[in-house]
Amino acid sequence: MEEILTGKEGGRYFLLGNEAIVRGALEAGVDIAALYPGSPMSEIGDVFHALVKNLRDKGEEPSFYFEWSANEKVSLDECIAASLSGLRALCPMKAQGFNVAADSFLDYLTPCNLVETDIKGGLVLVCADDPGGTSSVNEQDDRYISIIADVPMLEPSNCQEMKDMTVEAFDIAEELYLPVFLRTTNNVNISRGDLVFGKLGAPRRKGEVKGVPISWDRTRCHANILKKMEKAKELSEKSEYNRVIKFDGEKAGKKIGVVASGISISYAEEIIRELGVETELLALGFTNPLPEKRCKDFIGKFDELVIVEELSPFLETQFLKMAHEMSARAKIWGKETGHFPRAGQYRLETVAEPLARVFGKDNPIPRQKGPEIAPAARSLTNCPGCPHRNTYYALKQVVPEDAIFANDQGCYLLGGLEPYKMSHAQYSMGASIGLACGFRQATGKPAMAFIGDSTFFHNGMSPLANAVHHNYDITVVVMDNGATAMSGFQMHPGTDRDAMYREAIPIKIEDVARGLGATFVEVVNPNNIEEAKDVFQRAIAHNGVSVVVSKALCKLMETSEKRRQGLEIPTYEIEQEKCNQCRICIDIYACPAFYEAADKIYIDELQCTGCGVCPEVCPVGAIREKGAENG
Amino acid sequence: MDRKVTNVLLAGVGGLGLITVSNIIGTAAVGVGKKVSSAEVHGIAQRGGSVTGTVRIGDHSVSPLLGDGRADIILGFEPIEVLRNISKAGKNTTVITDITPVRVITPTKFVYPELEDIFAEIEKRCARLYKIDCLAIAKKAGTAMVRSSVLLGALSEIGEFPVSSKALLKTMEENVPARYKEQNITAFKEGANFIKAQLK
Repeated sequence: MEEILTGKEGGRYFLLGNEAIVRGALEAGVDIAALYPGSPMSEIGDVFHALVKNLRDKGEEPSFYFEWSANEKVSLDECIAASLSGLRALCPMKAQGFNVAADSFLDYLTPCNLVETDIKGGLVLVCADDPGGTSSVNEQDDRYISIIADVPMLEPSNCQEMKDMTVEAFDIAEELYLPVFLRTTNNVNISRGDLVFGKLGAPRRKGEVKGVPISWDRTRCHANILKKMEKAKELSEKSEYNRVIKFDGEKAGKKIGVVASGISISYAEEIIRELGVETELLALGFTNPLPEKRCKDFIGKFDELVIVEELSPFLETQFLKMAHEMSARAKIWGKETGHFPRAGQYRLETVAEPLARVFGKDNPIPRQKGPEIAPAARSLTNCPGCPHRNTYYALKQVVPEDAIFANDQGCYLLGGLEPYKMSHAQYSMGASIGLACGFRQATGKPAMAFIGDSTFFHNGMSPLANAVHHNYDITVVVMDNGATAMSGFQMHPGTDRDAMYREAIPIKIEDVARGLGATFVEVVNPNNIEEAKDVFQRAIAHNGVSVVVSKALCKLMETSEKRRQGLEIPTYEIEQEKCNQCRICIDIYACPAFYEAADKIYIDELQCTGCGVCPEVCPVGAIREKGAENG
Repeated sequence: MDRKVTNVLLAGVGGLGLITVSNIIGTAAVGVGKKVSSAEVHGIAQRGGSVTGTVRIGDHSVSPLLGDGRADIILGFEPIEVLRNISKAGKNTTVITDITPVRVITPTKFVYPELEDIFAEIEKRCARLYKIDCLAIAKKAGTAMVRSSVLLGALSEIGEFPVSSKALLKTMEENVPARYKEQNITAFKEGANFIKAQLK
């Protein structure tokens, strides 16, 4: 990891795509990076953070400023200000994070774009899409944002390009004075590859604001941006990231060409080699605006074209338009023709089958059948010892039968799954509190919101103010585990250090709730289930907004800290002669350290984190600490 | 240009060191001048969920993904996870797997299949299967934490691997926490010895 800062110019390294972006930003001499974490791009922040720590440990001052911001809009606003002050700013976010920042991103462009001479700070927005939605709520294709906002877009296809395009994006941003959209997808963000480093850049460090860069003439500003995008098109035509790759091989009867962008370039390239056919691949990395002339030249050469891109037909629609404008003979195969799916993350097989069909060859990578013994899926569930499980376990015993649950974005959303099933709706950061109010208003039934600490600071405070102001009779449970745990334990406004390892002011959620006027606010440790039940019961009975901060450190963080300190971690076991097979531990409490074999229930000692809560859950006292039998 | 690529598929569950091993293989391969592409696939669960990784090593760039039937080596961190990914195996595939199951698949009331049945099916779908009790070896080396290094050591001795055992060991030493270094080295060597004994 350290090599990201200390690595030599010209040296070859093996990095994660997200790490390569950080190296690129450092080569570009980035002054400020700010972000709210989220898969698949959290490691960009983790690496900046770790670099700060490494430098501080050596007594050195980082050349850049890094911040874990409270949400994506805050991070973007700070980066915009840095850019307006002439500094280079990097603002990474996941696709759904962009939705939060969209207000600022789309709104600032027009009023700020008339002043062109004094302000020259490149702003690069990294937007990480998640085809397949493995760690997101949807499969949003953010390439369209570049068209809506009228900004240049680059799409890296491998680790080297993750770095190189980051550098290039800053240069383009300053050449045009337009922010540049670096759009990535999960399979470049969290893939690793070899790459060659360039030279580290020198940050400018001190910004300055000259004049008042605001114009009220929206139409003139808009026209100005469009003029810049004409210049961007010239850059796209010249860009080395838009290139034709030629393949030797078997000639087909008709001339078939392939077009791809981003990670799909590597899939298309690999399948073409497997097919062994003579063809050309138009590989596009500078994808807004498209290099129209070069695309049209390419279209004109072929009888048929295959467009390979994940998610929406972004390229395909534009190629159909260009082919129409030039009355081209080329047939275009893609999503509109049913050759490729619009939904889901691509596998090599997704690309192999249609490409083979178009080229009239056997599929080189036919799908193979799975195993005869069906391996049951490992269900998503909270980790062994997770305090969220204890919150839900306690709640489950005291909530009214007709209660409606609004959940939110964090590890605790897994409480919506079996066996707790405590979520009637969950989708975006901070939505739970507004949802609970809405459910209460719409149904008159008891309504509860479940939200995490980081999510509360991200977007939970305005809806809580709204709930208090309207005196909604709802219960809000803030599950505070001390970090932005699901995306990798990052800091937030509740922690006592910031991303630069300076002392920070930790904000207490209970203070915020009281400050906003909630009349019932209590803090409880959910690992003490009886105490938690009592607090929840009283909170639900309270008339008006009640807030319970269910507070216990993330078990993964606690365990790794104990390991670091060399402390013993106990494990628990079931005394089989006492166990009456009531199954509360495995079916209702459902800690994943329990398993069943030969009609008996056991605790897997490698999974158990020694939290010590399950002895309290077992009604016959059959669970004890290992080694306890000896005294 | 030599188009030969060595494809390694790693299959396991979160928390068993799969990502670390994948990084060590990739870093070592880049260190000896190879081109490497590597992907990791996991869900949102931090621990206990299925995880797979790929490491593809060659003299030219390839995509980070691996097609069905294309794994040269499957490194199994957990038996049923190998079975789950068995479509990646072909008739020349070598499978090296830890025999220790992570039985927990709550809350689906799923009872883990018999290990012999799992291994019998894996054996049908690949060229050779090496089963190693990595947990026992790791515990003997000092801590269950170093299980994955047994697999790495085993991988280093299967022959025709584009990175030498020495280079893998050196990269491992540079990439594990100092306090577990000795235990990792012992585990690596035991894994290597296990395969050497099998190949005799």
